Amino acid sequence: MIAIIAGATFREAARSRAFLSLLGLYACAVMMSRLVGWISGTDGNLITANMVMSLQSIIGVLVAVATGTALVQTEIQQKTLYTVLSRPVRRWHFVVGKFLGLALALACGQSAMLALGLGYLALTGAPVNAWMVLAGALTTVEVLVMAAVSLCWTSLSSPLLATVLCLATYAIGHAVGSLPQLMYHLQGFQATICVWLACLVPNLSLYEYRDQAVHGLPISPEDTAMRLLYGVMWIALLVTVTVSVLRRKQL
Amino acid sequence: MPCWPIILALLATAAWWNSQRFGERAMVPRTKDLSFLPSPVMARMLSMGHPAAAAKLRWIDSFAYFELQLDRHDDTLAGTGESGFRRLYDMLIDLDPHFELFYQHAAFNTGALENRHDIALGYLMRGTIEMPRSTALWRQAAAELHTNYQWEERQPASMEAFLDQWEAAESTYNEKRQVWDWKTAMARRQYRGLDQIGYWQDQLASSTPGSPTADYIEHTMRDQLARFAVTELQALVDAYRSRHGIPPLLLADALEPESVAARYPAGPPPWGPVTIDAGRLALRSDPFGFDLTLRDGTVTSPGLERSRAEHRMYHLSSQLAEAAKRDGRWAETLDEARKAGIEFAELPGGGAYRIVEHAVTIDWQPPPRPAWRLRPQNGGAPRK
Amino acid sequence: MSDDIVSYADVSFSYRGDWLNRIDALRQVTLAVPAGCAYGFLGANGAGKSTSIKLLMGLLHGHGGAIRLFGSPIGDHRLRARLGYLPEQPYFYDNLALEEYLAYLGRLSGMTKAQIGPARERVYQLLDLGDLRARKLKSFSKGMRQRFGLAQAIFHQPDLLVLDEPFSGLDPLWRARFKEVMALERKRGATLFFSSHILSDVEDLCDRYGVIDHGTVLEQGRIADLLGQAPLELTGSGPIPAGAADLADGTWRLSFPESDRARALASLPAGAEILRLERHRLDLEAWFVSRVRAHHGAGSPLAASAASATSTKSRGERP
Repeated sequence: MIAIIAGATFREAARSRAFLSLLGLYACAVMMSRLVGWISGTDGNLITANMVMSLQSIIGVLVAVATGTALVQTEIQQKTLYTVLSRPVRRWHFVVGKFLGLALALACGQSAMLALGLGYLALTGAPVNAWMVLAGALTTVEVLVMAAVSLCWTSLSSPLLATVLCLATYAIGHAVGSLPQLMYHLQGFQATICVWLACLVPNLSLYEYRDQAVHGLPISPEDTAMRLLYGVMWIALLVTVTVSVLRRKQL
Repeated sequence: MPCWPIILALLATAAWWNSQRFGERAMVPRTKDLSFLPSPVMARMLSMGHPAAAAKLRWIDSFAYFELQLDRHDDTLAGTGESGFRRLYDMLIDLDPHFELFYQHAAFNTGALENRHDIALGYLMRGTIEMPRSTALWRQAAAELHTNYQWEERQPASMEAFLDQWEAAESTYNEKRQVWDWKTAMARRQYRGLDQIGYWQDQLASSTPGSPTADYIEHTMRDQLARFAVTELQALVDAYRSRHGIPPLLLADALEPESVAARYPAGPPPWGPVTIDAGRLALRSDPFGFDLTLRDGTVTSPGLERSRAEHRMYHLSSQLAEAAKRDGRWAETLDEARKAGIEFAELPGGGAYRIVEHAVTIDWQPPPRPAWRLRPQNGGAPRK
Repeated sequence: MSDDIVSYADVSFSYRGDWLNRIDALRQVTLAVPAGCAYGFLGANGAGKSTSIKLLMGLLHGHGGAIRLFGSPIGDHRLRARLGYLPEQPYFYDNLALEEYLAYLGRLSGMTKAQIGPARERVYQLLDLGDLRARKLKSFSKGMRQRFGLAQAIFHQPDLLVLDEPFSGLDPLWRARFKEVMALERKRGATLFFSSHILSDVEDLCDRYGVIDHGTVLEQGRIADLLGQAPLELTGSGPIPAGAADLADGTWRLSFPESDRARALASLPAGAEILRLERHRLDLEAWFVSRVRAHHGAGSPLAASAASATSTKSRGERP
């Protein structure tokens, strides 16, 4: 049942205008990133590589948030889920199937972006190495975590508010990595808030390996597995919260 | 009525309007202050997971700041009293600690511009820790130790130890060979003033021909080569004076075979002002294409003087802007600028000041000969 | 009760209004849909029809009382495999083609891939969808969506068809076709349970009905019994009985309910000649409006408008 829902969601998401438009935007932005390399006054290859790897994450997160926030709320508002939930489908089947379908679409999008980005870098003479592929895979995990975040927020609020909250989560999630260094300046209540914040938000800085990968710096298999596991754990948590909310929701 | 003619007309107008910003008359030096430089930790937080890309963009955006500091020779940040360069590079390096150019630029700007070679060396050392395989950083650090700390003479054992560490950090034969060359040269180094030429040649080879970076590197090399030429010829003139009791009438007279042989036992250096033409000693032009001159027993390079005058010119532009801020109006002519308290030093021959678009420029007559070719014949290939 | 496909017993439901207020949507609703029948669920807008149906579908929860589907409590999601549902004003995924969508929903209902092909051809024929099979649903008009909605509801040949306002947005031709399809489904053995506020549709299709207003079931029963409540009309000549209308051509006409038939005939004056005795056709709309009006009370705005509608309709249809 989950696989059936996931399959339909994948097709729906992969054909959606937002998804395809943002992929197009990525392609344009990758071409434009060469400009940044040029105006740097250097050969620009490393700078272009940084831009391309960052664009995969930025556009990927935008795709995840745009499609993730529409995933459940649009179904509820447009009542498209009536024809699904009136069949022998449990609500958790629906949420998990929806997420897996979206995750599959996003993973395909990320793979396409990575192939396009690395291909472009290779064509323009910028450094390309196998670690960048691994960095792209970790960025995909980051994007999937953000998709789960958007799914969770959208089950708790309106799509617009969910989008804002998702972007805030993204910013805080990356800032969490630097938070311990700021703790020296904080005391008492402020410090407590920061610690709580750091503990309750996914630490997306774990997926910033792309910058090291551009310089060809390796990452250990254990570290990679840990980051993967961390992402899966957050996805499981957020999807479970979404299931819990949707089970109580009056449709 | 179709819309496309209106769209085309408006688009053409907008493009023309925008293109005005790139007109030659409007291309004035930008001035930009770093009014807000977050701490490295805060900058990392603000980069939202893309520190390397953010660092590169910030770096590119601060190019105008470098221009300003080059003119002002004052790097103090308003209000804080801190060095803008240092704060900027601390931030950039923290955001992307594996980008070689940050360390090189940080060392150059704090060393050459601020004359803080201790800090420059600190950046290079940090770079060798973060990037132990970076040949360029090791080489620049070695050049810094040699040029500004004279470690080869004052601390030869420490210099040897440093070179040993460099050698250990290199992994390939060719890279290790560079260190061996350094060690060999340490024993027979003679030409003070040309120590950095090898480094700049490498930089030039890896830069894009015609780019601002390439122009800057070429200018720096010509500057160093001109200084070397002046120093060497002055030594030959002094030798002539001690031998004959009077200075030579012409500069070419100073090229006495005995003096030249005494100064260059292995033959004139390839980047030097003396060459051998048809079996006879001959003078080269300065690296800018001007004839080196002798005036009252002192050797001068017109190209070097022009270069110094251009440095002063940027300072004059800053003074012009400060005067305009103070007086509430821009000086449009040289006389008005002088009345505003700006002193225009006398220019070397063939130059005249002019004020264009609120900036001081100098009109030069072209040099009589082409400038030295500095780029290697196979240069310009992108760095892999 | 064991033959009932759907049964509601004392079902109450309220939803959250502003702040902590709760609004009662259903009050002690009790109704039963016997197997094989066509049940028309009548009610004005906001009466509680869709809420009742959503509770049955499991889209709403937290009700009081008991709802049974195929004799079992509705909590078991597997029961919904035997059920086809057309929501009111249905929307569908924009970027799936019609044939993909049908296959998707069919598989969710437990159909195998082998069953999907023939089932698809069947609904293409019934609802004339063959030419649209490869088109994405975002390009569909409202009527096309409604056709697709019915197609997905009957696609897996369910035992119970729950249709919420199935005729909304349809032109007369497609209304007629929908009725044919629903009749065919019933002939196949499916039970129909549909809500509507168009009473002629209920009369055409249903053999049972229920009327709901403000969350309360006012009345339910057989359509035949309801139609049987239509008055008899006696046309005669000669002496005019009390209460009869004197027609200009020397005849008179007397109307009385079926239950008064014997008394009315016995009380005819001597010499009165019976020309014909006919059953008057019941004006369902007038009947519905009068039922709602009676439930609301004369003071409510809806009752006033209902009264106006009743009088207009009555004048127009009386000979």
